[in-house]
Amino acid sequence: MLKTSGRQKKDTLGIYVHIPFCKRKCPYCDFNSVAAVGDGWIAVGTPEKEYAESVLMEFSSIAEREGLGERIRAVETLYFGGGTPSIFSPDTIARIIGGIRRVIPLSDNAEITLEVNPETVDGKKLRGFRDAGINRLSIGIQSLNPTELKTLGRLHSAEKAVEAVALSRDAGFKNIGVDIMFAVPGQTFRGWEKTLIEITGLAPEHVSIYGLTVEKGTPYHGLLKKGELVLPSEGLYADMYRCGARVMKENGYARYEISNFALDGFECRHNMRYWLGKDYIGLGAGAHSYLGLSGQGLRWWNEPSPGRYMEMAGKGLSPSAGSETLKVEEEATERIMLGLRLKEGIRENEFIERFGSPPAEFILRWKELNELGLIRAEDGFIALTQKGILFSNEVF
Amino acid sequence: MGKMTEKDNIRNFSIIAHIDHGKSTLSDRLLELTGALTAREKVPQFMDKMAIERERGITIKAQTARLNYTADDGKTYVLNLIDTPGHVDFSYEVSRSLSACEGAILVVDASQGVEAQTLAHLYTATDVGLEIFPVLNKIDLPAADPERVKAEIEDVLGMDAKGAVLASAKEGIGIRDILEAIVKRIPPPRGDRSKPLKALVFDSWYDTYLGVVIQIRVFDGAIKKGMRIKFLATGKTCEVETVGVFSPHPRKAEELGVGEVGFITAGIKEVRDTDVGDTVTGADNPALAPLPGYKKVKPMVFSGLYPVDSSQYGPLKDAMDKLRLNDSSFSYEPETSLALGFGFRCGFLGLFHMEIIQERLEREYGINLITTAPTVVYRITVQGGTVVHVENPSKLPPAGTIEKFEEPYILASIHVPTEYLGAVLGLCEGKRGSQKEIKYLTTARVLVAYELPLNEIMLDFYDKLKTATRGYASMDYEYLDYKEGDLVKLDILINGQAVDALSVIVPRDRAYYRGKEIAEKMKEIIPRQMFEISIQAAVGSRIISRETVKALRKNVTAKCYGGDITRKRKLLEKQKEGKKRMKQVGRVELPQEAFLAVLKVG
Repeated sequence: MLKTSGRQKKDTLGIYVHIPFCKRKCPYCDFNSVAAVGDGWIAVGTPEKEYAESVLMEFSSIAEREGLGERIRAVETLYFGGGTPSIFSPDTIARIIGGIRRVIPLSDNAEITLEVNPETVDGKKLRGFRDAGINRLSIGIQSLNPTELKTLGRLHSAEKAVEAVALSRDAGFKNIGVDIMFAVPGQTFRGWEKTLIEITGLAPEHVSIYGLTVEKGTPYHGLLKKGELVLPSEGLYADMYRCGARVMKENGYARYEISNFALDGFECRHNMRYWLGKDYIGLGAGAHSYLGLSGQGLRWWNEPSPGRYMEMAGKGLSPSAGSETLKVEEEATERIMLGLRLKEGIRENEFIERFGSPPAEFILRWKELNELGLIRAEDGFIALTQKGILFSNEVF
Repeated sequence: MGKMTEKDNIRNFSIIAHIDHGKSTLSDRLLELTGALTAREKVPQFMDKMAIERERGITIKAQTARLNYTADDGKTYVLNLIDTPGHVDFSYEVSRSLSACEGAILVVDASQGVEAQTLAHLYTATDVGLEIFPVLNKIDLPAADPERVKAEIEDVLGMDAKGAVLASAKEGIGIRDILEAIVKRIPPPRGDRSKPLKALVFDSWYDTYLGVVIQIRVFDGAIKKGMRIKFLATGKTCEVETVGVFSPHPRKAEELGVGEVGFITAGIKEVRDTDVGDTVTGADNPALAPLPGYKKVKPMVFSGLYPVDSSQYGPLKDAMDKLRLNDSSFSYEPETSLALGFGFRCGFLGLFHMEIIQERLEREYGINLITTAPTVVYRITVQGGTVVHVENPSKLPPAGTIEKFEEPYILASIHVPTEYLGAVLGLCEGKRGSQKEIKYLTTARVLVAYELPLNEIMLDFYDKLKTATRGYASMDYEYLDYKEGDLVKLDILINGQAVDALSVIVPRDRAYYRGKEIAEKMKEIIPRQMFEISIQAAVGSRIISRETVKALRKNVTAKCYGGDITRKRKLLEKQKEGKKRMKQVGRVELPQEAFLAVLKVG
């Protein structure tokens, strides 16, 4: 006989909150952010209270529309990204966290991350964030080389970056990630290696290493086209990436995704949700959401302009600017493109169960890729090889 | 059912115009003013029915329309407008369509004046003895300068332009004047009803319901339903099932008499039984001599067509079967290439015809194609005297066994303003041409005749001619015979492996330059891959040029988080589509353009 049990709240959720404000926009940045008039550590011109209320209004509407209350057991991860979320006051961050947990509880060991720009924080503010409930920081150091920081248009110095990490420790943060960049114009291999070693000296739990990508529509793109910006060669890019992976490994950081390295147990759980295809809700201007575990994948994205976003969300209207219901083959493409970013790759059984045939059938020219040594199948997993990582776009 | 019309009240005419001088718009106006088309049917450019025709602004199949017009003299005339195909590849078809007329309207843009393309058709029209009068179109435009253009017509074309009709097809100005001029200036057809039937086939196509529909112009006698007819050239006999006219929609008629233009069906299944230019006569009381001008049309240009996806081989064959139903000048034979797999070697009238067929296969039948560089048919005499015809360079017998290597030649007639004469001569000399004639038509225009290898005009001759003369030259050509040449096969090797589909035949003394150019062009076209790719050009075992496509060192996306996924996926899907359209030769992925690289150099 069939058991007629009530609907179980077995799903978990990740929540991303986008804070689209910065003191200044960096010339390579193509994220959704606007420069706010800044003074000191809190940007005076940022309508943070109003924005926070809009975010909470939006969340309540989504929870009701998608029936999250009945389906979701707990919010596993919460991530404040930007923009520069650390220009918001700890009070505002506390208000958002509190507002979210009133709708859906946070799990006991929820990962709550805040992206921080070094120049926006001092010890007091960091303690404030800690008290607000933040338990993980992602600090945008980018470089410890003064010339590179200037090239990148960053507002902090190398000293300030180092200090921010120390202050975070003092404030009680036990899970600190830092972002650094390579293939920056003017960067040398030696200079990059030096930055890497200095970074490991700061002993963060997590390091994200990003190769600079010049996206269309950024000032960098214009400069590149005019020939006023010279990027390192592809060969140097590859060498720098390998150098990064080597230094990380030597210092105990394991690569768990193409650009992410962590000490054991400190992988970013929130970002893992993206790569594993787990549900997430994105709140705020331009944020994307994905709900897939209930069957067909649904994705939607918000109005990017903060002003219009607040106007809509604030009135209780949906700020969504577009949506898509993923076809099976689209979902499979995403599973491959995201799953292969991970060190462990894709679990074949799970994939077959979901899509009916093995991942190899969705990968164009699987055999050649295998022969070229870019991808391997082992122990029920399909993953990129060391060589495959640098050519991942050829594989996906 | 329509009744036969008295021949004195018939006018058969065509419109000759440069590509954007307003031929289609004028046709539409003539149809409208004579009430042939109702307002509801007024799709712009009604006469160009195929989508490709509308897009390219050219006519591929001849279309006709029978218009009833009550003239100022109070009499009602039947005006048959016979539209002609608009490209040099179809010059024979054009000449047949024009032969079905007594007159033609020469449409010239009142601001732009006489342009090159007009000329070839105009000369054909003169050759078949048509009465021609000029119409200056677009006189409403501010830049219109009718006096200057009239002087130009007299000067360049040697035509009397005093009576030119001023019109604007777009604004509907002068349309009635044109109709009056057709009645007054174009002579009525001549012919004798009491003589045996003699009708000219000037077009035919396959219709799913009716079978082959044949467009004819009756010169002598009459044709009616139930009559047994015979095609003099093909020898086929059959019974007429329907007789009708296009007004412009098909409408049945009792019969077609002397001077009339219309269509017949006769239970014919294949277009190739109805050659354009053939003479239809009565099977029981046949005419003794055919109408002049008939030629058997043969494909002159060949290329390999291969499906990108081998599973599309069947659909490709079906699609080609269907296209051939309507196009007897298109031929195909199965062929296998080591590089490209199973495909077809196809024959076309010329390059333009080839493009049209490819485009239709891709667009109307949704088949992704890889096309190899077009080639002519070479005549090879091997040791022992056996003669073989080779229409695929990779099928050439071994160089050591060839006794005589011959290629087809054409006689090109180029009309050009004197100021560009030097440029044209330079171009022809550079293409291995030998000069046959230079004739000054007026003080401003010259006719240059050159014998050229057909192979040379297939590559980029038209483009070069256009560039060299700023579009003012017009060209027509006729096929001559084969001539011996010092020719060699140029192979292209990708990572050391010769790719059969890339081989071309070139004159020995040009092999080095062509090889170098092709290798350089291939380097631009082949995308970088994860390994180095060498491109070599070789004659026999001698490597004459080498280029290298450097290996890709990285292709990785640094960041991919929640907000990036949709965009990245779409990008990936697009790239995958592109990759699916590539052909793999060994490990190397070659884009379709690579197989046409040879066309883009020289």
